[in-house]
Amino acid sequence: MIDATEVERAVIGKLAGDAALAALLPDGVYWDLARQGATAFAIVSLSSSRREGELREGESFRTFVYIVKAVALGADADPIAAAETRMHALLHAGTLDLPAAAGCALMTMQWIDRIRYTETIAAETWQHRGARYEVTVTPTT
Amino acid sequence: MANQLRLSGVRELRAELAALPTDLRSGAIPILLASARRTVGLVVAAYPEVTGALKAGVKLIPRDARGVAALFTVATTAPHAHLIEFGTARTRPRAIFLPITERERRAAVSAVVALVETTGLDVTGDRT
Repeated sequence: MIDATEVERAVIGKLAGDAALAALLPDGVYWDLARQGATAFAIVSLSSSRREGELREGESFRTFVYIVKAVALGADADPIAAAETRMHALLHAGTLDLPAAAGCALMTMQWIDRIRYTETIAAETWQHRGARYEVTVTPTT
Repeated sequence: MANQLRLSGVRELRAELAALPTDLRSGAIPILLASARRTVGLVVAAYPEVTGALKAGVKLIPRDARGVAALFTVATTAPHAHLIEFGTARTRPRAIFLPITERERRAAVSAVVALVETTGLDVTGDRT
């Protein structure tokens, strides 16, 4: 059985374990929401999911679409642009370290569409950059 | 020995093939329109309501399509819609518009594929 939580952990772990990305986003990688006070971080969140039922008693593949974005306080474009580039290098056509408990193996991981916007909160500028990535896995058990 | 292959009904076959795209378009439009309307309803129902601007910003836009194409666009036009979908620096993403529209689009494409297959044609490749 596919354990979706383990797939999420693998995506977060891949980003959190990268030293180059950690240097650009020192406050870490979070699921959905960052800790209070964080000013340079990555967010991973589920955008959608679906299953492709053909084999293996109704499920041959499962696809998760994740929002993966860097969020940074300030108007300096260079660090967040570098973070976006690094996340893409890690995820697009990349590998995932999925444990046996995940119950699945990675088929493909690919960029779908870009995310980029700026918001102003209490006169502070926040930048958001990243993409949605599609992660397709197949059951191993 | 026969040295001639005679096909009868070729003219009729050509006429049928020529009319096929137009016939399929006529059949596909109600499928796509119903899908687009259903999608609008689902997105409006799922969106949170504070001022009502988010729900009011969901639009069904029929497009002028060239040739035999049929095109309907479901758009979310509220200026803060992306902040709901992808989150702010202090709030979590609430994926609503994209998952609904993507799911409904796949269903609509499957329905149009089924329509095409009723003509005896095979549809191969990505059906989504």
